[in-house]
Amino acid sequence: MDATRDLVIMTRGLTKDYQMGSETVHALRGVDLEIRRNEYIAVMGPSGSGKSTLMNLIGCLDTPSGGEYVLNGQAVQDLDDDELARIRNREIGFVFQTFNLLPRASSLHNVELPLIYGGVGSAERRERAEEALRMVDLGDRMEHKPNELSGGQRQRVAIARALVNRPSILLADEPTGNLDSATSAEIMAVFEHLHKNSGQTIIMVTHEYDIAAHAERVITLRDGQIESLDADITVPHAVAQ
Amino acid sequence: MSWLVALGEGIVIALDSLRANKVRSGLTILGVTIGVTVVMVMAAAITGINDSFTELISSRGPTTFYVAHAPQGGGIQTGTEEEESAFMKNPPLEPRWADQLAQLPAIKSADAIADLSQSGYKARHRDRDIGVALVAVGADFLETDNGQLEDGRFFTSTEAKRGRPVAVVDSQVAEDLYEGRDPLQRQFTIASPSGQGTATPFQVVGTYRRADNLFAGFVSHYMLIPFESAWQYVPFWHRLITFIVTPKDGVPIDVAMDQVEGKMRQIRRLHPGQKDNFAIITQDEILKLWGQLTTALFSVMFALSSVGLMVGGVGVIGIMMISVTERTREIGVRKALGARRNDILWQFLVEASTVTLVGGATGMAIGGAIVWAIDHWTPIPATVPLWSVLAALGVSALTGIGFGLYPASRGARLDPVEALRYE
Repeated sequence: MDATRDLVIMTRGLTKDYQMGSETVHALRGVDLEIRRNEYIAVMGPSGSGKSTLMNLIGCLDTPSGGEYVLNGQAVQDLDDDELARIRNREIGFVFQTFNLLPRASSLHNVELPLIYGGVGSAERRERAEEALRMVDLGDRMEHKPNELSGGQRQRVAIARALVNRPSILLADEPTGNLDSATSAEIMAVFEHLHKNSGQTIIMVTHEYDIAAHAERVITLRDGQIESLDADITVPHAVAQ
Repeated sequence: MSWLVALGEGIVIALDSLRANKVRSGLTILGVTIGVTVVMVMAAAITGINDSFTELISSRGPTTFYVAHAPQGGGIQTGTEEEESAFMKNPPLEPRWADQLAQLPAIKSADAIADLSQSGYKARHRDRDIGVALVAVGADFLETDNGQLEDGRFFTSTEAKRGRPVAVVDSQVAEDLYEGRDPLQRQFTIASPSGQGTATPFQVVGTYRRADNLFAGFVSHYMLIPFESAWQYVPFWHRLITFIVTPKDGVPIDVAMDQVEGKMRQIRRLHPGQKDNFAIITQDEILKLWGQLTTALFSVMFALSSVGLMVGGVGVIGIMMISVTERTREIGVRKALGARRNDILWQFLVEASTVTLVGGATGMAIGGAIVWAIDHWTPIPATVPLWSVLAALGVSALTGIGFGLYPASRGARLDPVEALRYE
């Protein structure tokens, strides 16, 4: 297997600086990262370690201060806002801790959103949105509004929305942070299923070890740098403390 | 594609938030509503008045013109105060001159008339005393008037020439003076504003209904008598005498006017170089004056409604700033899902114009109701011209877009990372 052709994400010396008043904060201090197709990765690290910043850069929500970021063979570090929006639309599916569904819209409309911004025609849009909802077992909740759904169901709508445009990467930021453990297990089962059957690349930020344990590989960050590209979290306290 | 969906989405969201925040939204759209209402009502009233006026003027025939002692066409003040008082020095017209004008080769007819409708004359019958709008006219008055004889007859040209004391009255006079009994052949006397009565009793020979016209509607107790009878029996201010002059068929109006002017100068004994001390007023001039008046009205209307729309526009900025702030996180989500700046911009512009369009539509409904009421309950004929509906809708949408642009572009420029982090 050709290793470089299979790379979904490659970063070289990725840095990100913020200006906080007169002080410059170095949120990322040179990150080299390679993630392959169909990997299932958890990103961990204490708060302030730069994991949110890294996720924003990987998700093309933000641009790096320095370094290189190649996504599916395309250098994206210098793209402008609208080009980044296009990349996000095609390549990235976001799953948020707080679901971030549009409260007044039905499940179906929420899932259709990425297709709307991708310029997909209405018939195909509806078909694909319904298919995505069926995939997360919500075929019978298409016309429900978010407030008519349970937390787990909402997150599944969000997952359907993230998947509907068939992105190469599913980017989940604390996807179970607002869910109880039973529902968390349910969501993790969905990820597991996607990983095994859809060939999706999944990158998940979490601070819970039992959630991270679902991933194949755990990347840990500390002080804006990679601490480990394949951390052993079977002895959680050793890592955390 | 996405703009079309955003259109529907924006409208739904806008209507939704209007419903959710009734007071806030109501106050916001109030300015737009008032502006549009004003435009509608004024446009309808002016259009209606214009139509009536044009109809009234042109009912006299397009080449008919007037001779008066001063240029005060249709009661419209034309000059400065100084000019007005100079005109006041012009001697009045004498009725017999009308006959001389009628002799001119280009002239078909020239009649003296006097509109005494505003002068406060009264009609008396036994102990009854009612105010009447008295107009002294020629026998062929009905040929150039849109009113209708209802009963009896009009006075004959012989009666007119001899100044017989006969009158044609409207139904209101009949009712109030004779307690609803048939007025034909009944008698009354005319009292001047100072209370002096005429000795000679007038006789009602016919009843008449004025044309359904704005300028008819303001006047009731309408009474027509032959000019010659007024001249003989009713004391009145002679400066109210006007000649209605109709050129012969096929004679150009300026030829007729030249002849009349020459004859009038001769009658008035004016030397060459002396200014006319009388005025010839054509319908074009009256319409032009009227046009100037309504243009001024339109400008006032425009200014008034602009203020309303400005107030509404500022309200739109406010409501849209709140909407953008409230939905900062939603903007972040939409951007994460691939919305470009223009997608967000469009979404909020649609929302803003929906808000103002609702305001505009409300204003149109209110305005339409007022116009209907004016048309039904007042003598002013008001019709809503199509252009004012389109203008009102267009202007309210533009207000939304214009004033929504700033909040919308604020939303569109939000950094997705910041927006997603917003609580």
